[in-house]
Amino acid sequence: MLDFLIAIVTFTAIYAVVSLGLNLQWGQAGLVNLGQVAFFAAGAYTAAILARAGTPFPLAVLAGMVVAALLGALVALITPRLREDYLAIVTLGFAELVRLILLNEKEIGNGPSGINAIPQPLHELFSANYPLFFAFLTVAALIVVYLFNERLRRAPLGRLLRAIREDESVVASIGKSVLAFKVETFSLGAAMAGIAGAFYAAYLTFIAPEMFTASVSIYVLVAVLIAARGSNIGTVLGAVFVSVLLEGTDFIKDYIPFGTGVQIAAVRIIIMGVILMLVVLARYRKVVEG
Amino acid sequence: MSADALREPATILEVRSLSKRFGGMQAVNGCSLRIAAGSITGLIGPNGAGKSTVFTLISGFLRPDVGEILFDGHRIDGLPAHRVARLGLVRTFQTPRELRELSVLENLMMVPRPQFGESLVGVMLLGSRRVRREEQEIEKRALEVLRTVGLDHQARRRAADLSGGQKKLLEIARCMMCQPRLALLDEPTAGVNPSLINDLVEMIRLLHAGGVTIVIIEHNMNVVMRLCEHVIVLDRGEVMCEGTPEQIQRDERVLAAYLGSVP
Amino acid sequence: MSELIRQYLVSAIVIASAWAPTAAGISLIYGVLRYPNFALGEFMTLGGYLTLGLSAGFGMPLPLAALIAVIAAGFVSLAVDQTAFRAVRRAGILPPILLSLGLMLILQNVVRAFWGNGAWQLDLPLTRPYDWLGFVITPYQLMCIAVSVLAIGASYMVLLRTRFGKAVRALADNPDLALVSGIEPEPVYAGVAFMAGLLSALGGVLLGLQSVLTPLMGWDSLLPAFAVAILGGLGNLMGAGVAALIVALAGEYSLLFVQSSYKSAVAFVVLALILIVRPAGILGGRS
Repeated sequence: MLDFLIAIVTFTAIYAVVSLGLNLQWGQAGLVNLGQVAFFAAGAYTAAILARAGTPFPLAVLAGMVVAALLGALVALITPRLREDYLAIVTLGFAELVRLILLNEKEIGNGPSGINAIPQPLHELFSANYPLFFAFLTVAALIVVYLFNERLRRAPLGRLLRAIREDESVVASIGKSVLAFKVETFSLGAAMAGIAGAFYAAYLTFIAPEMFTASVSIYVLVAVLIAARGSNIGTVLGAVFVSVLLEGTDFIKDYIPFGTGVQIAAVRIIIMGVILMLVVLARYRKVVEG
Repeated sequence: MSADALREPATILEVRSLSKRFGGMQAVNGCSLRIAAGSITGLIGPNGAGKSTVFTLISGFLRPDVGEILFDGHRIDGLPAHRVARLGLVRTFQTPRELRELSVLENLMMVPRPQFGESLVGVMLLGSRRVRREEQEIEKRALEVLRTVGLDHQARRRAADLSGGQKKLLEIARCMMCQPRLALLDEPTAGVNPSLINDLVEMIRLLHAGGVTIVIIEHNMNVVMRLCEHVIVLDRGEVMCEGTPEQIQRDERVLAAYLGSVP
Repeated sequence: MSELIRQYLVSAIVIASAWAPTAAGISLIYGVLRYPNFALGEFMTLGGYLTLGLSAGFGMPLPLAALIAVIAAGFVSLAVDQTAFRAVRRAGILPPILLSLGLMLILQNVVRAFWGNGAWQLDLPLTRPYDWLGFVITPYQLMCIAVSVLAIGASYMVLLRTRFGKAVRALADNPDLALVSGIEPEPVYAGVAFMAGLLSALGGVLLGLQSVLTPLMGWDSLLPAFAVAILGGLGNLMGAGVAALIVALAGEYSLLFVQSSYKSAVAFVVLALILIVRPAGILGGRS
């Protein structure tokens, strides 16, 4: 049971970091991103490949972060004038493109079979309690990212991002480059997903393209949507909810006599879909009536 | 150059045969005009004459199809809006565009540029003396501007909760906060009650007294008469005539254009 | 080599026949209700699997099973539109996008819960392919093309000739004007939702006829179908038909240069280029 709890904490912290990245982009600056999983995958693959080549963990995390950030900057640079709906389509498609590349380009990460035996940091020091140590490490990363986001929200930069979310043309009319701030914010949010990806790879010691489907982007969307708009603590709680629903109900299958593993997994995702729709209805119906 | 400047007031803005088409409509059609530095110029004309479009083109929010725009002798057509604003050419919006979820004070505090606190290093050093002092200075200036326009008691309110007239004031306040060299004011008194119109006229005079050249789109001829030393009349996307307000009021073509536009 | 190129042409026309109805559904919703509905790919999946369930499970003849399946999918789409999407009609473009993502998860996993992750095949008697001047095509592939052309043609006539169609076109062209001129929008929206669900499901049935059913068949067709809908011009059904061919040809001939699993990536690149270069669409799109 304790092992299970430790696993949940680790997953939650990883999901929370990805969600905080999306919250920075979407919750604070209003940038639609339905492809957060692409940056998560970029971080995971970069860190995994480097770790297998003998790179120390902190450097692998840093590299995962940088690659994800560059990819994020690229997406933001080619889409600055796109309307919200087009941005939704392009980001969703971009993530699928990244997944297809990972699937097809075998020299990157062995295609569908993925990368295994990813080294874990300081594994020999904590042989027995390793999962606990790694959970602490992940939560520490979450705290750092959380504090950064909170600081940004209270800083003049946070004020400016909210201004961009409200009305881009006002920000342009006073002489500030909306594009520069959008690229910076989008790439920061992507960098956070990259950090989380690096931790994810080290935690599981195995990654494959099938782990990085569009569903992951939608799960973190749910976590951000559950939170009040732009709230960081709300986003973390949203991530707790999402990961408990996804991973925490895993033990149920031992107690339910009916249903195959596939069916239980499917039901879980159906519940996620229903919750997403209910949250959207609860939030935006008020807008219409009010 | 200095000899020219002695003979006639320097031109701060020059527009040469500007044109812009939207689908089947020629919104601006070979419009040319000059704005003298330090003046208050009125831009009037019937609805649909292309006044707002001219502002939008000058301020870089739209690219003209044809034509040149010179600010202070430098070509600015084709520059993105924020680059134009950085040169000191700032526009206001006809429908106030307050940042709704920000406080009135924050609406002004986000204006100064550059802000160390808006950089990533500034975020990391949020509690530092440098960021704190910068914020204090910006806040002080923002409060001064709010006092000037009479919104200082509303400083902490959400901008969305302001009345329509107060939002117009905030629009002017944002422009003041920018400290521009040339301000394009798009109908600053439209839809405002008469007593507030007097206040707004005073504020525009204050802005002007601070050394800002002003071009103002205005339907209220009374306001035009009180403020402007020069008036340009636009009709169907081109300049129909220009002169002093008195000359314009006597011009029969102007009368005809306005009457023609009345349904 | 030239035989390969010929066969690519056949494959392209065949796959286009499955994408076209789905893209028409996307195009209708995007053009009239004005949001990209990401769940419409899953209506393909739903249509395919319902046909499978009715024919294999209840022993219905395939055409009847397919007919009932696509109509049922139309009603599912209608029901979701009335219960969920209707509530956020005037809340902007983001809420319906998010709703469609939730619906996407639900539909895909309902199918997975009933039929599992594996591939299924519709029970088709074996036939001999025709060989016509070196173009090899099976009778089922021919049937797919015929049904697709008929479906697009019929939908087009509905939009052209009926009062409902007139209202649809008015709302797509200029909603403000349409509302002022007294068109009651809600019944039109309901009709569009029904039609979109039905057409997408039909695309799924046609896809099932030409290959296998998997829970991911709708997702894999989503990006190509969006590329087709946007390339064809939103609300333009004939445009969708033509664009389906273009996107399918681009996908097939890309096989000369890249691996086959990149087909939907080719569609995405086409799509991204269209959006970035010409947001209004290419074939007679509105601005």
